[in-house]
Formats: sequence, structure tokens, C-alpha cells
Amino acid sequence: MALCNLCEEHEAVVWRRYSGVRLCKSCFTQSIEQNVKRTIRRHAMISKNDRIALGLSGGKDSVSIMHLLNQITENRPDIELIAITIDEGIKDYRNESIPIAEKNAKQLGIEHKIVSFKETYGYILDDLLVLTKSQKRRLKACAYCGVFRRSLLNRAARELGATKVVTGHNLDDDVQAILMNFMRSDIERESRLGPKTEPRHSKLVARVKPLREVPEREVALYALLNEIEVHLGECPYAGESFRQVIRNWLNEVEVKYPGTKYSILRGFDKLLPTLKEKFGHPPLQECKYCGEPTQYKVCKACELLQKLKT
Amino acid sequence: MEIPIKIKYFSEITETKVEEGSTVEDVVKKLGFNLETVVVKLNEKIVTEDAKVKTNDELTIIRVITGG
Repeated sequence: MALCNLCEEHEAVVWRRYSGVRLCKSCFTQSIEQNVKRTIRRHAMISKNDRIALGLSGGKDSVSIMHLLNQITENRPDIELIAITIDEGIKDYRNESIPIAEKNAKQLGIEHKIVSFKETYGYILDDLLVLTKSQKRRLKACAYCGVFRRSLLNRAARELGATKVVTGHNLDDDVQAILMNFMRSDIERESRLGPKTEPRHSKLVARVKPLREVPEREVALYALLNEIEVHLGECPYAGESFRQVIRNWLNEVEVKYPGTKYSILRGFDKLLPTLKEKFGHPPLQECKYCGEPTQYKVCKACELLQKLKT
Repeated sequence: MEIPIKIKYFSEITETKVEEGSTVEDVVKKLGFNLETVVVKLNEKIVTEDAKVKTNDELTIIRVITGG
């Protein structure tokens, strides 16, 4: 039986090979809370009188950050939390996670709004993929889902008067994105990846990622140990994504060379100021169809929707 | 010498044999899982991967990292 290296009293439930430390349930839970608080403080993620919109899927990351933020802001009556769930319309997946999202929000007394692809774009994701396949122009599911989800989360947050959007992106998510952008040679996109995305348009809400320095496995462990109900199902379209290839590879490397994920993040954080300086970020304009902020005349969501009709 | 243990994955329980002195990590690898993607309970308690398994122990594998 291995004891916790901090309290030297209780049995360890986690062995962090990247630091060599073993922690018991209580010390581990505290360390996750400290990690999140440190990230929030370091990047000034929360300001006075913030109305924070949480992107809540019902999965381990979003549910855990909701519980953590609820606890962190417990003594801050000026901070308001609201949860937004995007229903993409993915059978046997999202319909299973939404009730869990609802249950957790209700348990914490957090206002919860569900918005759907169907009511906003006229299609559920499943149908959209069948349609584009029949048109012989189907892209990978994530190409549609990512664009619509990002845009809709921002729109819903803005309409609810939010001053910040919090997402449940964890260490693994960000490291995968860093590698994917690099492997696609999309360095401009790389320069927009960071702990905090400042709005470049009055219709954009600032986005922050307080779980960015917590490994994905530890987010799950936090939820399990603290008996937080989360959805652990897998998106039926995950297998077709480039991200899945990177995720598997990264996990193999991490097991052989513990600390690789943190190293990649630290290296990227050193590069980020230079990347931001190089690319600058010109102000955005409004999409001529939907009015949402975009780099070009037509936003990516409308571009995808237009293609369906031609 | 091999010892029998039980593996619980989702709600299904199967029996398998592992070398005496095996750790949770050895079993997880033998079953083809990556340690970064699972949390393991040994006889209903979450343990670190260097915990040793004994005859008739029940190992629960919780796959926590999927695609989503």
C-alpha cells in the first residue's frame, strides 16, 4: 500500500509519474482546486461582476469545471454562473449527456439553457451528415460540429448577457490542438490558441479555459472520487477525426515519457507571445448573412450552410 | 505461476489469469488499454497502477478517455 506523499497518512489514489508524487483522495482534490485557481489568477480569467457562461455538455470536463467554479466563486456574490448546453443532434450520445448536464446544474442551482443546431441552423448533425454524404461532399463530422458549436456557444452566451465563456478544455485537449495546428502548418490558428481569447469584436465574448493545466485523466479522476455524475460516452464520430489519431499517439508517448504533455504546453506558452506579435489579429467584420463576427465576408457556419443548398 | 483474477469492464465480469506478482499496470497493459485512458479500481477501491493483484481480486477498468 502506497501512502500519500503530502499527508503521509492516507492511501494514494493517484501516482503522478510526471512529478513522481503520489496523492490520496483529499490531497489530490485539493491539488486540482489549487491548479484551477492558479490558472484563473495567472491569466486573470475572472473579473469583478462577471456573468460567466459555462459550455456544459454533461461530459467529465464541463461538469467538473462547473462544480469547481461553483465552489471557487462561492463567496463572490458579484459573480454569476450560467450553463449553456449545445444539442448538436447526435443520437446515442448527446441525448444521453443532456440529462446529466441538467441534473448537475439543478443540483448546484445554476441557470441552464439548452440551444440546438436544429433550431439555429435547421439541421441536427446526424441528418446534416447524411445529406452531405448523399451530395457526395461530406466533410468530417468535426468540421461541421466544431464550427457550429463554437459559433452557437458564443451567440447564446452573448444573448444571455455573459461577459465570459468558460470551456472545459483540459491539458490533453490543448496539447492535441497545438500539435494538430502545427502538423497542418496552420500557425495563424496556433497563435489564437491560448488560455484566454480576448474578443476581437463587440459580438464576441472572451473565452477562458481554467482546466488547461489539468491532465484529462485527472479531470475524470476528480469527478469519480468526488462522486460527481458525468457522461463518459464516446461521440460516434470521434473515430473519423484527426484529433483521435493525435490523442492515441500522445497517450502512448506520455506513458513512455511522462511529462511530455506538460512540456509541449510549456514550450507553446513560450512561443505564444511571439506568434501573437507576428500574426497580430485584425478586427473582425460581421457576416453578411447572419451578422456573426467573422474574418471574411461570410462566416464559416454560413459558408457550410450555403454549400448544402447549392 | 499464474493466478486467477476477475476483470470488470462496463458491467461485464470475466475471469483471466495473470502471473503472480503482477501489478495493476501489468494487467491493464495485458488487456490492451493505455494507462492514460483508464482509472482502475481494485476490489472497489481506486488504486495506483503499481498496486499488486492477488488471487481472486476484482479489477474494475473504467475507460475515462474517449473521443468527444
